[in-house]
Amino acid sequence: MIGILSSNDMEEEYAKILHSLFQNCKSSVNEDIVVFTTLNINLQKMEVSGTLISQDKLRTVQAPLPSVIFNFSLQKEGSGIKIRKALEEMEGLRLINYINKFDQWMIMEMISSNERAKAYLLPYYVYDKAKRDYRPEENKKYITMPSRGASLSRVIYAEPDPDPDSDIVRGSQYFKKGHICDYIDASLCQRKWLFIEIPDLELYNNHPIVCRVYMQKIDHKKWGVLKMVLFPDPNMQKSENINFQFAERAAKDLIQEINNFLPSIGHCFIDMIFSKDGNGYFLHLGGLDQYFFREVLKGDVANKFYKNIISLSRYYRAT
Amino acid sequence: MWISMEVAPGNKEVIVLPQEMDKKMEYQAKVIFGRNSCSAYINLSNELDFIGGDNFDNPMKIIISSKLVDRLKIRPELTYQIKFSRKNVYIGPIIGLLLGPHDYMYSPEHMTKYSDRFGIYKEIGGLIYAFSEKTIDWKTSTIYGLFYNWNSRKWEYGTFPIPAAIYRRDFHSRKETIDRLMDATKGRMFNSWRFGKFYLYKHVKKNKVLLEYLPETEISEDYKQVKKFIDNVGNAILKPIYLSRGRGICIICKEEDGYRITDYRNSKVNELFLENSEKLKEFFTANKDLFDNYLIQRYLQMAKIDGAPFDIRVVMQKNVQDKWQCSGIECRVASKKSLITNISRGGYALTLDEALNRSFSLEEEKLKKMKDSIYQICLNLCKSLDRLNHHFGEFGIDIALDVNGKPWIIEVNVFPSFKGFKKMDYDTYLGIRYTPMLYAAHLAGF
Repeated sequence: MIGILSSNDMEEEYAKILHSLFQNCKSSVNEDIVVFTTLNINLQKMEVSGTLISQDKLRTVQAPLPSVIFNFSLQKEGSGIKIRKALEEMEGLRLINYINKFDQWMIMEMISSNERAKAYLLPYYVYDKAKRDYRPEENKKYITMPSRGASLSRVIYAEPDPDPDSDIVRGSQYFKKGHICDYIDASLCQRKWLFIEIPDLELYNNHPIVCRVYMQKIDHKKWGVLKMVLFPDPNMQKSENINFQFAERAAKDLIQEINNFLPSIGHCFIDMIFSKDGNGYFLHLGGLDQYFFREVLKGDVANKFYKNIISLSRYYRAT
Repeated sequence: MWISMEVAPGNKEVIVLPQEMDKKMEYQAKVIFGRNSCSAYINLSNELDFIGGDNFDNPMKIIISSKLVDRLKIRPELTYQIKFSRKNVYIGPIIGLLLGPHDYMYSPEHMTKYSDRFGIYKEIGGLIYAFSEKTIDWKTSTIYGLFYNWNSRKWEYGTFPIPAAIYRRDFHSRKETIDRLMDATKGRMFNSWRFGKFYLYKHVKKNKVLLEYLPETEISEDYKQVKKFIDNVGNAILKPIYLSRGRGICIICKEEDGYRITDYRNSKVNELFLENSEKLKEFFTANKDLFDNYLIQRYLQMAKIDGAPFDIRVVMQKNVQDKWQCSGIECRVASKKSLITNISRGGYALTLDEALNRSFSLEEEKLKKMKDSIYQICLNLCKSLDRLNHHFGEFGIDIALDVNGKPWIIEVNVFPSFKGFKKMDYDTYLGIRYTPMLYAAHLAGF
């Protein structure tokens, strides 16, 4: 049996989505899959109660703790984090993606350690709210974002104001639905912000165009791309400077390097931004987001995703 | 001898030394860097000055080919020690700090808490890096982790060889990994095992010299056994076998027909008086976790300072002569009204002299005898634990003194915390931080 760990409020939604998708993907390589949350793990008895999604109808089951668990959750409460950490430490159990929200500064530091991967990095600086130890230069362009997380709604594009008499920096932010609250929370709460010094970027309505590359591990070291989506508007007209082949190659290079330091990662997205001269640069690493489950996980992508889950589980159980 | 390196491009493994270093070295030698090694050409050049090398700040420059750097995963920006034998060149030391499995936590920021250990770096030099068991690639004998870059005074990510010696800093790694690392380093990983409280009791009980310093201890199994134990000894303490820092403790004191419970299992201390054994039975029925990986031990009438009990934390560490030494002693006094002495529970720290003077009004000679006795117990305890088939490098030994001044062995921690020393005596604190690094360098052959 394969486990899927969901956030506490998402078990029902994930179970329904995955159940309806995986019904069409079944083949000779089927396995039982159970979706559960940290609230329903009994570590002493090594049991879970969750929703079985691999049969014709969804049903609640009590089952032994699966030996391979894919973590699609974000744990915010101390009790959930404690259980997740216990799973990380457990012998004979493989938790895929210990976490799904990363410190981008830490990721950039990892990337910096490899000359090849470093080519995808732009100069970056940390601004610590408590220390106030960095000041951006006024004649340069920057992307500013909180160090933790990978929400595009928190990415701020800033360029110097062309009016020499004004020292106001012109910039832009965009918000979707309720995401302005995320931004405000981030502004108030996050201690560490990143400043990325940028060249002239490919923009869309004054926002940097981001190519989000959704990826999944196929076996120990091999990664496959599930889908690439452009933001802020997935249906926008793509300029020739945004090269999907380049983005795919870069994302694979980057995840190979990051995976050396964070070997539990088995599914993720990598965000790339593009300069006007056609180069792509790393922006974010994240676990699979809700957009993936709601919008991307369809048809062929769902099929690939399902097969990778099965094959990766088998690989880990066999090693 | 101390060296700095200049990397020259090249597709062969080569080391270039000053001409004057023609010390009967073979033309080809094995270069050993941590557990990595390869054969390399040893060239001599009169373009290199045969100067320096006597200390960290004055290293002798050598040239090393880029192929050799890549092959052995050398960080050429660091200052190393170098040793020669007829057929071997040893560059090092290469020391690993084994952290836990939570790889996403080990950022350069997280690692700054280890930086104060590097006050001794100029005596060691070399490559010192931290890693998780999860980031070992056994197929290529490569470890991904963070090394301390002395030049930038920062922790940086990198790719390293398996180290020559390992200082284990966490006990959550899998047994299989620990066994493999012990094999790979030929046993040069210290703190290789963490024993539980009851294992310690069983082990020490076999030692005739130490037996008299052990308070009666049993595994807590059921109500009947626990009640019998309490009725026999009067006052008892229930402790979780695998928790430290005073977590999960419950003290039961017999008072005529009743029992006084002081329960520290939750953040708020719960005190209650149970009138009779029926009520005690009800208490245990409602608190069955006290029979799950708990031990019950005689609760000693401990010596007090201003009405509060205290215990003694003795830090024993291995030094570069492979001998146990006492690196620091602190006395931990319970907060007022508390029965447990952990500083995390609001207690405070004192020096041993101060604590003994305040608790016992004794002459200098008797105090010295008391201190000697404490040290001797700790030394015997370390030697006794060394006979286990594991490699230990440091212990935090908790000793209690009863009201008569007799020492008792309470606990031995393989991963002790030294927070009290940091406030009480910063030099001693630093000494405790440095000693394992020096021991690791010694294990690594430098």
